[in-house]
Amino acid sequence: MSTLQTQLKVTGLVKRFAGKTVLDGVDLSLAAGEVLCILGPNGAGKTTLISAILGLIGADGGEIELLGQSQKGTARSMALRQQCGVMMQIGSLSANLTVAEQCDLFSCYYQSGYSAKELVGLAGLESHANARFGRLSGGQKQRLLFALALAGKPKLVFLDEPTLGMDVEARRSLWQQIRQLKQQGVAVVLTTHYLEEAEQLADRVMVLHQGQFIASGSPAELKALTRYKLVQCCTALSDEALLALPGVLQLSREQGGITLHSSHAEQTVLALLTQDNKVSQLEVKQVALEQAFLQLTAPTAEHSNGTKEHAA
Amino acid sequence: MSSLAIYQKEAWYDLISVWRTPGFVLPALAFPVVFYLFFGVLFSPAGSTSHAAYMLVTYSCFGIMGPAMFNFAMNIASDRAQGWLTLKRLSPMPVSAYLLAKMATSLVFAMLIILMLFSVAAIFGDVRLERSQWIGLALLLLAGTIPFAFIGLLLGLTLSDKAAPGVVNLIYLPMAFLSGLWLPVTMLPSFLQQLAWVWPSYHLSQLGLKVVAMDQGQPVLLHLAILGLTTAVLMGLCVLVFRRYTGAK
Amino acid sequence: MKSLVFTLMVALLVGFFLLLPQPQQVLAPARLAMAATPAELTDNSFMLGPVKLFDGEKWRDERFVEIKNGRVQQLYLDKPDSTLPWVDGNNQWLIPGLIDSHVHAWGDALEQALNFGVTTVLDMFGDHQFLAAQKAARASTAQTNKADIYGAGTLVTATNGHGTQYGREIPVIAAPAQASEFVAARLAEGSDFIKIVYTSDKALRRFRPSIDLATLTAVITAAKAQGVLAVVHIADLPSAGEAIAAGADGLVHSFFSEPVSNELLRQMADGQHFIVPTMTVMEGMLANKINEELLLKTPPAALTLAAISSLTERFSHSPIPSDRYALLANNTKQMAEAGILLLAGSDAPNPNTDHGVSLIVEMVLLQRAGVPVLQVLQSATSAPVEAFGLNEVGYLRPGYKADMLLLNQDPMADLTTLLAPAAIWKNGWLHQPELPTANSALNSGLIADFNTDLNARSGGFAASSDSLMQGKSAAEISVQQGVLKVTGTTRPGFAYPWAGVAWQTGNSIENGSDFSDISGIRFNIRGTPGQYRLDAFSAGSFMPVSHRFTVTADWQTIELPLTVFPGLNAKAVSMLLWNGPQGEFSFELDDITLD
Repeated sequence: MSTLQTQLKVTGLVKRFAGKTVLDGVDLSLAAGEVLCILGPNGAGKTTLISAILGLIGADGGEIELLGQSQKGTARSMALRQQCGVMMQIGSLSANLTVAEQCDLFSCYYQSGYSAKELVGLAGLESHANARFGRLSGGQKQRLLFALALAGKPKLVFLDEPTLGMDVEARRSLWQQIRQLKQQGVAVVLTTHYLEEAEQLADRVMVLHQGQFIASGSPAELKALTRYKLVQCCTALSDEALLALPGVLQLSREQGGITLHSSHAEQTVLALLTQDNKVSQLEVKQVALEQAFLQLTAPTAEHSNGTKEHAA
Repeated sequence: MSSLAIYQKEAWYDLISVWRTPGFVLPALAFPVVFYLFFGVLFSPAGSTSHAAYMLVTYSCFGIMGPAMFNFAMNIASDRAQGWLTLKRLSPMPVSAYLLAKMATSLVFAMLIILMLFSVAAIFGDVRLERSQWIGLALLLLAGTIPFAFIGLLLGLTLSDKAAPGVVNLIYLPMAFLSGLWLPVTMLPSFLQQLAWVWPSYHLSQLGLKVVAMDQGQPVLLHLAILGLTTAVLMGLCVLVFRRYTGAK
Repeated sequence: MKSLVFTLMVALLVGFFLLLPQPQQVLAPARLAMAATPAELTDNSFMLGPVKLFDGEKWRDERFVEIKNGRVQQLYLDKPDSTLPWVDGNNQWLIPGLIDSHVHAWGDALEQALNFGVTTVLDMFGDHQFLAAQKAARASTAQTNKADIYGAGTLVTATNGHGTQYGREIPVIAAPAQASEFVAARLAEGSDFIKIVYTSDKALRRFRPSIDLATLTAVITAAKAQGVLAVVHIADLPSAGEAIAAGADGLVHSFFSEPVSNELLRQMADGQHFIVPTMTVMEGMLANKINEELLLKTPPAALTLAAISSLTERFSHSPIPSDRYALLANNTKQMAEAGILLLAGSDAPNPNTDHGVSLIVEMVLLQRAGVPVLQVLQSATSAPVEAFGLNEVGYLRPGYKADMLLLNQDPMADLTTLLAPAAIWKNGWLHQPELPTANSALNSGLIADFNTDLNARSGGFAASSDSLMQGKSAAEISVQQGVLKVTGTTRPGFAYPWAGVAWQTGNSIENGSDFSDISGIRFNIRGTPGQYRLDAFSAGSFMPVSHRFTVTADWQTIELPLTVFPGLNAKAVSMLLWNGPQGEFSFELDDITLD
């Protein structure tokens, strides 16, 4: 763990909705200048987790510590709110106010934040300063919301699906801004569907599944956690033969080629070459984080068994 | 920024935001004036200025109720649905600034309606009142927005943004009619006259009519007490609902 | 910038409310469109109702009265839609303002009358200049605190006849030939009708000289010829009979000398002659109970101390058997039953009466005598109008003046409700009587020692004599060597000659001072030997109660308990007057002390 100050610490957080446990003993901690990416499929409890941390909903158990202060119930002090920035997934501003007006309004909330003009610049919407929120594109809206999350020059930022609806260009620019935040020592909690984003930005990735973190680590660590590799080739071997190869878990065929998911790729390749010396276009690939994530959270128990022990 | 500035800006931008909603502004301002012109001035019994004065009070009540209820109910329901309210709650803005901003907007609309109705009454209805009566009536009407703001708040906190406008109309229009705001309450069937006591708008209008000495003669304190009680109950309900909404236990 | 905009907005708002139209008059028509109380109205155009309405003649079905510019505009069964302010009548009883058909008005008589809801008075002898000065108001509906007055001006009487005894020189008539000229002179002075004093030769008692029957007839004929009414003051049956026979339009007194004859009843009824019985003033000579019962036990708020003095004042005459009152009442009853038009009149401010309030007493007496109450109401409203041919007042019908009384109770059930009307309107204006102020009480102790000057602890001293009333007496006062020196002459001339020094007991002669804590008066006196007189005046009365005492050339202390002044209203003593003896005199007065 980093020696930097812990900005967010959650211990044993439990939240139930109508008897259903949505968060089941979640622990996490985040240091200044750290970017934490929370991954998980829809319904995993990501938004619930953030809502509970921020006090939008009450928790049924566990402890939450924000910027070194233990939080009780749903109340969050004004001083705390001055230092937190939030960009919620469902975040829409009043459709009738212009970009400049929204920035003016938000900048007045914070004692030592950006000015309205700086916020417009942060959002990169100088040319749209007088456009009403309702007339902006999805990406422009997200940029404005992102800028407003930073209005108070926060120490801790929550970004729930920040790049949703942005084009590639805008997304890269936003990433750049998040990196700058990190350099400024801001602690960032990020949820996203774009795994590339997590790979690009996250110091740590935590995977939330059915209310529990089932994996945690750097993107590389997480990838390493997934011992699976992809063996791609063209071979004459039958499916039965291929599935019987050591380490092979799964097989898929496409356009004459096959893809084998293997837990022990080297042994698989050795056996493959032994059984069919006419194998062509052989390729062994690391599994992308996205796929690792899919595997980790796939409903089949078989695939997740091996990773359980790594849960943080 | 001082917190006073937050209150000012919040109120100012709430007003701007509402002002840029023609679907709200036009009916809110036009209906009371048009209705009053028709039923208070044009269809007034010949030679009667008392009718125009009576109707001025009731249509003013009708007028100020609308923005209070609609601004709170519809905008809060939609702010809730769109996450705007969530974002505000997460920002260091006092909830009171948000609610007071809505109240201020309701008051501005109430004031506009008062100005227009008073003008119409003075110019076309030949209504002549003592200055103290004009001012007293205006102040009463402004204060009278409070219970309706709470009704709006309660609906805004409980209804979805789709349901809010319909439900508000379903309450607003019958309540106005049954309180004698469209027709003098004495022209309603007697069982409806008795029912009128239920509505806060009836008591507000009777207080207004007292200012011009045309009320039904019940004591001021009675109307004030019922309005106060209604407001207190609504306030209590709003607090309960808001607590549930914010997850506070 | 922002604060400028804000200030501008506030200024615009203020401007708007300043520009909003206000009612043109003091009163907003719309403001009172519902349920105003009478006191809230400050205009003489309004809608009054719902009320139970007596129009002067009968009770009507209409419940709303429209008043415009002080006159009744229209009567309505239901509240009409009107731009006029609406005054709530609370379903109370509305009757025309009362008419007192026999008064003698001067000073503040018309104000006092209106304070009790008497909106019109018929003066039966008074200063014609006073009448002339007040007449103009009759045609106007301007706001006023006075009742309207119609009057006879100077009455018609014989030399030294009744009417000449009040100290004012009046023309008298000596022969029938002067009648036409005499009447014309009265009309030229402004008389509305002619009042004649007549006592028949056949009368059992003749108090004073009277014109003869021929002159009476001539004056009545002259009045008719010149288009005015002739009414006659009588005090007995023969005089009444002769006056009616001579063609008098009405009699302004009844009589208690003997029962009314059937002949007179028939004559009066057939000839449509009216009578003003003035039972109240006679009650003061006979029974003397009614004021105590109706007024003095719980005095109405508007009753002044001066009024109380007048109500408690007595005639100085030899006692008359009090059963004569029953005779008077019976005469009145028979006249009513015979169908003779009765008019209520008080004869105020004679002893036992005062302006306004005594008309209500008269109405009660009429009712108690057996006159149906509806007829009693008429006797003070429409009856005088019919009798005297008035055309502005007495009815609540379109065109008549909005002189009105709103009553808390049904006057048909209890006439005394008239003593405390819910509202009085004169010319459509709400009249709010100025309530009398209390006088100040005097403590016992020295009043004046005249050591250096005339100063008194309360009030002041002044010379006084009948020269005020064109008498022939005179008096002067001065302070010499620590005493008050009075010199003067008492000579016959005025009916009640006087000369001496007067002490006005307080600041106000109308209110006097309260002598309740005083048991008597003490003073040192010496002077021209003879019978001296100390006169004590109740407030509002010009008829003193006197006590005589002997003065010598040597100083002596005279101590008089207040009981030597029977009938003095100790709550309001206005003046004490030390009179010298007959002829030339000089006396010294010192150390006047109250005990």
